[in-house]
Amino acid sequence: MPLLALFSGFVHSEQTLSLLVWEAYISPTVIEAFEAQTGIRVETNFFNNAQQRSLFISSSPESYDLTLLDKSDLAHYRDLKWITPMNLNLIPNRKHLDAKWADSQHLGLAYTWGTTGIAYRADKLETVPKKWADLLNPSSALRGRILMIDEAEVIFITALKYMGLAMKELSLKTIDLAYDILSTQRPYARYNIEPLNQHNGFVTGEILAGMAYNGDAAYLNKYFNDNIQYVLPTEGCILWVDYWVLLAMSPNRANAHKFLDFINTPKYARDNAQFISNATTNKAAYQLLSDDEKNNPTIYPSKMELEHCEFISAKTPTISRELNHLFFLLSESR
Amino acid sequence: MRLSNRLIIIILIAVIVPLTILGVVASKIIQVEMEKQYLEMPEGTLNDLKFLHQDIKNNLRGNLELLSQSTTVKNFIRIEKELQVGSLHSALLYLFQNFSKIFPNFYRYQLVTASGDVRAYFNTLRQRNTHTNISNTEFFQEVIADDDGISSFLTVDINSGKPVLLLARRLIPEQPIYPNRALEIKKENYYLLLYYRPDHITQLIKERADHLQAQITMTSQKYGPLFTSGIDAGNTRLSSASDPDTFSQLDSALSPDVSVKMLVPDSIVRAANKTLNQYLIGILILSFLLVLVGGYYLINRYINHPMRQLMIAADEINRENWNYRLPNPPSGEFGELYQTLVSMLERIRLAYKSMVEGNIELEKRVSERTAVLEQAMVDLQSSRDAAARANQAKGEFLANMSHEIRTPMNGILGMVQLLSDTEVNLEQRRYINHIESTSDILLAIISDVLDLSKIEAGLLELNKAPASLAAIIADVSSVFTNISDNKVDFQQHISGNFPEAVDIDETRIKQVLINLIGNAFKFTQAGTITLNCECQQKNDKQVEIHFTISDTGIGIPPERLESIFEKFSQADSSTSRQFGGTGLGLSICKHIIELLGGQLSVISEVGQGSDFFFSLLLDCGTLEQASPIEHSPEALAKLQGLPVLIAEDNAVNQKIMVAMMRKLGCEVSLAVNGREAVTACRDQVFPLIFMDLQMPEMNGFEATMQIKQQQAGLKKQSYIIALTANATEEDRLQSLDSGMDDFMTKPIKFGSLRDAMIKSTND
Repeated sequence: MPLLALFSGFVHSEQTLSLLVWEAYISPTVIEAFEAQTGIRVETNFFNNAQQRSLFISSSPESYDLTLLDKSDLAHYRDLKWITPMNLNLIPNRKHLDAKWADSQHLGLAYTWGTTGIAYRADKLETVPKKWADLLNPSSALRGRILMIDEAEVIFITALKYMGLAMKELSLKTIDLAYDILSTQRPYARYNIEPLNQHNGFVTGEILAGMAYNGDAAYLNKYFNDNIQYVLPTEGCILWVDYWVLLAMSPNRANAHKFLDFINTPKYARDNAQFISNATTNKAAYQLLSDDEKNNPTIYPSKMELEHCEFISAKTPTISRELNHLFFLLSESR
Repeated sequence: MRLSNRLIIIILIAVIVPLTILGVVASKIIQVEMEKQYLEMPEGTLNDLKFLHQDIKNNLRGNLELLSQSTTVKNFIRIEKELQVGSLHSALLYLFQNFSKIFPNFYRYQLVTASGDVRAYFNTLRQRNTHTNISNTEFFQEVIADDDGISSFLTVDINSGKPVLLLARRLIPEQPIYPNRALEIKKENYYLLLYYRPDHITQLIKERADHLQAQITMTSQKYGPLFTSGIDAGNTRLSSASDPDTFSQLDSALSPDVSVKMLVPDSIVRAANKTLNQYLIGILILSFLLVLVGGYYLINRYINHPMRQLMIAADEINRENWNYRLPNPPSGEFGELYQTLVSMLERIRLAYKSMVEGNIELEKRVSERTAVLEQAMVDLQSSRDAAARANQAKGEFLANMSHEIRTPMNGILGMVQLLSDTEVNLEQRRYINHIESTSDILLAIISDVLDLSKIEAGLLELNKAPASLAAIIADVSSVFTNISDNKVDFQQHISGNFPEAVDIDETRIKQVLINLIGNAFKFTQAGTITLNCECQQKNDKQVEIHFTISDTGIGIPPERLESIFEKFSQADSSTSRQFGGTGLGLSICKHIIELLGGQLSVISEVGQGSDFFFSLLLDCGTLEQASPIEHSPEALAKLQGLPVLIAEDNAVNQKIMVAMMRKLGCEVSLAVNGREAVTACRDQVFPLIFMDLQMPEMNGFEATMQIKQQQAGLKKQSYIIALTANATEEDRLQSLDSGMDDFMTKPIKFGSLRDAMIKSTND
């Protein structure tokens, strides 16, 4: 009996934390440091795109503690009652975060920010792509070797930017126009979120140009091939900020708070930013970076470059549904 | 009927009849099989379709259930309409998308409220959602009307017009799992609609329709035709308007709404059968004609035509037109026959020509051959005489041996007799007696050996002469009456009427009886020995005499009965030691009796005694005085002055020979060896030469060969008589081989010398 009791006690006493994150979006060494310091075992789950993340959460809501959401999704997830506000008192290190990213409803804790632009293989292209038109109306050299991010909103907004429209001009009518543009381009493009490893299309050379998150482009450039370059299209790009959110059915709330506090320690925040090659929202961590890192134009673009860039704004239900339907229509037809 | 016609008829019967039977049977089998197939297969197809449909429906319900139980679906239907967009919506569509990747035949998904409002729509067919509300569609009304909440049926996709297997399930919102959320007051039910492309069913219909050449139509009673495959029924009907009942129709319901109709065109079966029959008849007629024409042509070309040519040629030959040749000789076997005929003709012509010449030559040859033949006959006669002489010489040799050995033996015996008459002491007397008895035994042995050798050489000749059988038996008995003692009694019984004399070799029958009785005495210690002689009159001229010699002696074991008549054989190998004898006696007796025409047999029992018996069939005769043989004076006169060469190295023998020759009045020349004899023969041809075989320098064989070589070609050659002390058969044969004409053994008696010389002059 004592032995059994000890065993079961041990099982129950094990502290865990379940994360649902993008691939290569958190440094394994930072997680190891957290595990070593707290004794909490971290289980890291990956999602490839927003619809997959939604499916994971909707089908198994009690499996995860923390996930990442774009700022524009916070309200929607709150309405769905999938996420719940945090107790910020438990995260003293939040003081290092740039106040401009703070969420008034305490739903999310800013993690990184970035742009969605164009990545390309500088060594394999004679003319460097500079604008969305280069992807959506591709030259014969690019046809069949273009990558489009496999996400409804991002793709449609890209087409909107190509048409010279702003985010606020998103309507059923403009979506239809965007759909026509995307349909024309569809046969030449691959819809996917490429893995961040040697099988990545940019690395293998199957993809010559395509939509990319600036962090991913920097990551590939840093770890795999420095011919992979990133450019912000002249028509304007999409801005995004990723927030850590606490899932409503989180089984390990206390651990989640501990984790969020830990990764905002300036040292670990800097280490993590260096690993994932994304712009950090932690001011203290930013200060710890080298000048080269701070001046990397891919990760930290100038204000001028971001002139035409916009954050994704909330949509009406009708538009949202139409976007989804049309996106899956595009996604299916190849 | 001509041969060719007969052949054609035979071929026709041999080919057409089996072909016809085969064809008719094959066509019947094929027809029956085809009809069977067309009767069985449509029904089978309908059953298969039913099973398949049911099977698919059952399988797909699992898929429907899987999606219905999905948390994402459940989450979706229990939240407010405003929230049913965005993340959860995209999660749902993503779920459908992934589901379609696993089950590609699911091509459309709809999540619809009970009022027909399409809340979620996913389609793999690149079709935009044109119907945001489907409450007016018939199938949706049917789905709602279903009490079970689960329905699946074949219908038409109103978007594409193609058949679809529609699966629908009613979903009832449950209490949400998220905290702080109240369920919407209005609990609206949802329906999950799955559109399944029934490829398996249409594929099966297509395959079976093609295979059966039938039209298969799948029809929904409510929505009309779903799928049609196979021949165009309307067109076929038109083309065969004369056959009003040209289709067999089969119906089967796949579901309450959907039925399958099959139109099987009977005309295809009929047409196929008709075509089959037409082909068959065509083939039969064609083969009939082919055999007829081909057979006639072939027979005419290869049999009739060459035969006619040969008949023409034969006709010409019949008229003795030997030089006739066919202008176009046939080929093949008839060609060979013709060529043989031509060469035969040539031979006949040549033979005819040479016949006359041949006749002359023939006559000449006949006369030549006749002369040769005559000479051959003369030669044959002389060789036959020579053989006869050789045979005689051999007989004489054996007789001489007997005589020559016996003579000194007799001398010895006489001398011993004389010696015994003189005064000798007791020891000497014993020695003399011993000499006497051993000499007697030796004499008997020599006699036996000689007799046997004569028998084996076939030279034992019976000297049959009329003799009194009673006298013979009396003589034999007298021998044993004297020697019988008080232990062994000898008796003789004679019964029957004995003729005055019988034709028999007296010496030999005595020898046999004495031998057999002597044997009886030898093996009988005590008791009686009986000679029984019985005479039976067979007819006027012949009597049969039964001789039986019985004893009460030791007897012969049964296993030895067979072998006692073999030479050198006695009943027991120890017998010779105990009883003495050569073991030749019985063998000799057996042979002599056989020569006399009888068979010696024995019955014996060990310890009781033996009976030896034989019967002889003898001619009756009368006793008469035998006349002495005289040499005719003419024969002796021929020897007067005859030149004779004697080749002999022994001086004594030379003298005896010379004396004998002179007595016969011959002119004698001498040679002391073979070489001298050969030399002597160079100057003179001696009509008679006596040649000793063993001589120094050159032996008789070699000398004879050289002399004969010298005289080769001469008309009259020397008659050479071999002289030898060796009375062996081998010597005799070698002598004759070397060319000698006669053979004599030494010592030479005057009589035999004279006879040989007379014989030589006669040859």
